[in-house]
Amino acid sequence: MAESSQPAAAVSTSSPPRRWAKALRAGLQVVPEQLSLGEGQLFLLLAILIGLLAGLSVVCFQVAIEWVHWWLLGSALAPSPWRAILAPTLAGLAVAALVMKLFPRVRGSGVNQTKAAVYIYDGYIPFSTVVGKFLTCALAIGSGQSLGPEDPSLQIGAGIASALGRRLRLSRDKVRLIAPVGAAAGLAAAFNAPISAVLFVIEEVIGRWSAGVLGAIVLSAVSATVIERGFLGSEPLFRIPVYRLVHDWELGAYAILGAVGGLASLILVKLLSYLRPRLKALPRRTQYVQPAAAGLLIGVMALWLPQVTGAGYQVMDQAINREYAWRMLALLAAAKILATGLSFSSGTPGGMFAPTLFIGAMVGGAVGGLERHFFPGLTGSVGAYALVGMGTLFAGFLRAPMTSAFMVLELSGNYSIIVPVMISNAIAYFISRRYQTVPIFDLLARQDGFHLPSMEEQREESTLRVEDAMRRDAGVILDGRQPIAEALQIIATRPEEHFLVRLGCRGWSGVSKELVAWQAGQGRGGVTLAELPENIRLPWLHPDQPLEVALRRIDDHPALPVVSRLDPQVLEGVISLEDILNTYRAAYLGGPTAGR
Amino acid sequence: MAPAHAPEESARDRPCPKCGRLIPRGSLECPRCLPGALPRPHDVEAVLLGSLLILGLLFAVTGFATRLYHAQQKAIAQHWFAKGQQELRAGHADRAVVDFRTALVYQRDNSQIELRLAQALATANRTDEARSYLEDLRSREPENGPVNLELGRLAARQGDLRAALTYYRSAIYGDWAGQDAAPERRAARLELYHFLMSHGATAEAQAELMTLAATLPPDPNLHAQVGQLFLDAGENDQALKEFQSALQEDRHNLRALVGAGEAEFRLGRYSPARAYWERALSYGPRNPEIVRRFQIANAVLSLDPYAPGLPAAVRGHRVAEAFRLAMARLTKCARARGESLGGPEKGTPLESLYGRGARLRPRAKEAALRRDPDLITAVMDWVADVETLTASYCGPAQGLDEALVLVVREHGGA
Repeated sequence: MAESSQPAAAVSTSSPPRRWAKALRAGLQVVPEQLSLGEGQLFLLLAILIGLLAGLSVVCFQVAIEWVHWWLLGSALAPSPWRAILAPTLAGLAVAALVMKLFPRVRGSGVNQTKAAVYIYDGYIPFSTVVGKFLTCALAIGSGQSLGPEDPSLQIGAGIASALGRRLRLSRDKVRLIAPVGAAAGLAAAFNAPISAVLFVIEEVIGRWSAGVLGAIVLSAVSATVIERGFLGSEPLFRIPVYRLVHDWELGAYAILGAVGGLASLILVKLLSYLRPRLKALPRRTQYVQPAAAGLLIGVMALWLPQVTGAGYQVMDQAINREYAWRMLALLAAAKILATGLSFSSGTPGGMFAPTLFIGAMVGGAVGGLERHFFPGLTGSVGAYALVGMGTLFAGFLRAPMTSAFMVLELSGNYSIIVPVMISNAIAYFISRRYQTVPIFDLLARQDGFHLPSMEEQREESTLRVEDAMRRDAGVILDGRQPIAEALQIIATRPEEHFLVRLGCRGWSGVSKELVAWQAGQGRGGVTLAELPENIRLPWLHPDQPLEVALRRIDDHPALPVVSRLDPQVLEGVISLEDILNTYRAAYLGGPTAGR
Repeated sequence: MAPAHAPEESARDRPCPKCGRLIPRGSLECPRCLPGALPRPHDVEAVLLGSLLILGLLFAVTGFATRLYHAQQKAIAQHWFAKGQQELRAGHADRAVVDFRTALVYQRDNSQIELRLAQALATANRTDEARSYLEDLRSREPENGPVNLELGRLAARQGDLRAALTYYRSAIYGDWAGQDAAPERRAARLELYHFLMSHGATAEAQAELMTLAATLPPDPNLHAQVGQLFLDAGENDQALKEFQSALQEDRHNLRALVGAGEAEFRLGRYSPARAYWERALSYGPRNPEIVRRFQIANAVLSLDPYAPGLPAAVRGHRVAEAFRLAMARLTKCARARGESLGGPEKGTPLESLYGRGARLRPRAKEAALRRDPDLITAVMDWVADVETLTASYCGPAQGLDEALVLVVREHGGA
């Protein structure tokens, strides 16, 4: 009572705001103690906070893009010629100056930069990058550069998370993990698609499914999406037409779409891989005018095809809703590939998600329209092709197959579209892999001079298992019930130095020939092996476990038993450190494999 | 190495793994994290409190920004919508499409803009696109009257009778929220009637018209309008009923007076027809067509020898007059065709008729006609034959001849 009355007396003398702040602070101090808020729980709490902050920031970012667009290009769908040319050109000059002078770290889309933060800089993203990304991308995208807001939103979210993590002095591991949490929030808010955002971050940024971080990522993505929908409305990004597979043969049409989409994604990758390093290699002073030059060219294109400017979501919506003929859609796809190649290669900060989806929608619509023209009875809605096309380009260009499939499902809200999506995406993905070995994000990272872990390689990396390294011929197995004298008789003539001892339900242990002989010499021949005080219990392994588990467990034991999962007393094999190392050597250096 | 992505910056600074600050080039340790220079460790609570404050501030800023943004969006949408309406009214459907589409970008959930866009697309003959928008709207609001009406119009334009009927009926019985539903429903039913008539579905059209008439409010103009439709459909009795209803509401309604006169005229009741037209001419401007119809009715009444209660002398006079008019018409028609009458007969129908007339002429005098009812019949039969033949040879009768045709038709001649 005395303790509680004292703060109350103190509070009564202060002003109300100060009183509330004090009370809140006191509450925050008490709550963690009472609930013993550890770093794990704090991490989840932070995930929600990051989601809210990232969601709000991304909402402001999107509003800023729209304002810049209205201010520079006007509200008409097709801006006047002078606006179309001048706006991206002059904005390009301003963006270049900002990037060169104030925010050199904001170049690029934001995905690789977030990955770099996670893998190279211990989750460190300077807050100035967040501010810079916000300003430069709003200016660039709003002025008509052919770039999207999603990847920058991802980096903005990651930057906010990183700043908060550093302020809270989280451990290095947690700070590393918190950037992807923010990234998922930023992407979810920008794309209004939380599942796709979570999948993309796992597939492209973290590269692995981890229960510890998955919960936080989902929480932040959901929080950000709630904020985005609360402020900007919950209506879907596109008006989705009713999907219906007209005929089983139509799946063939989607396969053709996959092939065309794969080729389109290849063209875009090749264009970027050709143009970007060449523009980067030009003298530094030219980097002040490269975005403006790209803006000028895009402005000239916009005189005839205003649809290619900006992110182009309303044009995608129009394509999905059959408002363009297939020839126009094909033309828009080609023009957007060129415009995006110019914008991105010029060093203008901005994302590639929206352009990829745009090209996909146009390619899909064009293929669907063309097929409908020639086989009207076999082809369904052109809008469905545009929708599937978006996923196809995503799979082919960004090489995120899971995200691409779920994104279409999430956008369409129709699970019956899954079969065409999977067919088309798989074909595009395989074409892209076949003719472009290095995925786009890895390619861009290498162009920037650093080597980030390839998520695609990680996904496809074959895992070595214990069964690949163990020797099935375990040699002599002793029984724990055997007296030392009897055991010595058995092992005396054997060349091995160490032997496994089966202890029945108590597991396994190991003894050396030397120990057994010494014990026998001490007159303890009647003592059983299980009763030996030097008897050390051995950890055991199962054949299906990853080899790295064996490496961790083997410690300084000469060998470990590999036992059946059905009955740990049944020995499947034995593994030694040498076996493990030989197997690794054979797998990565082509050396001899361990005996099996 | 700096967290930048340009390799050249790696020689300058690098981030401190503890506090994140950049360590200047040449320094080994972060100046902030050096032993002794360590700041007081941040309390988790303080950071969380700060974050909550920032969150609150950001909420306020975002709320303000988005409200402003939505207001601007709405204003822009309204601007383009108004522009589109102007273009549509001016008949520039293609420009209206662009304007409405722009408006829709800024207010995607506005079904009114979507509907206008669909209307503009339909006007610009971009039927597929219009239908796409309308079907989308209908999927959201299946009972929406205006949307169903537009879909009905599209179906009607493409001659899809079944779909048009479905959509028009959905429009008639649909929801017309925000508008006075009754006039819209009537207009929709009228459109359906016209569509059915144009596709030869007369029975269905008449049924729609009857339903429409049964639901009309006490509005003289509406009754007159529906009466005119009945008249056009040949339903003279129904038409007369509607015109009379209109006149009950407004006895000076010009359209109803003219229509009622016409209905009476078609029903062979020339006296009331004349009376209606007389009133119409006294209330309204002297419409030449009404004047003509009035004169015909007058002529019919003055030429009709079979009018009840007519004295024998007057009847004889009227038959003699009819004979004279018919003979004049026959002569004029023959002349127009280059045939000479009265010469040696060549056996043409006109000559044959003329021959019959010539034989009747000596007896077709008032005195003879007054005494001989059979002669009246013979003369009037000849008159009917003349009018029929001359109508097929020399075009429809005009003026008094037209009245004569009506007289003989009324009394079973011709």
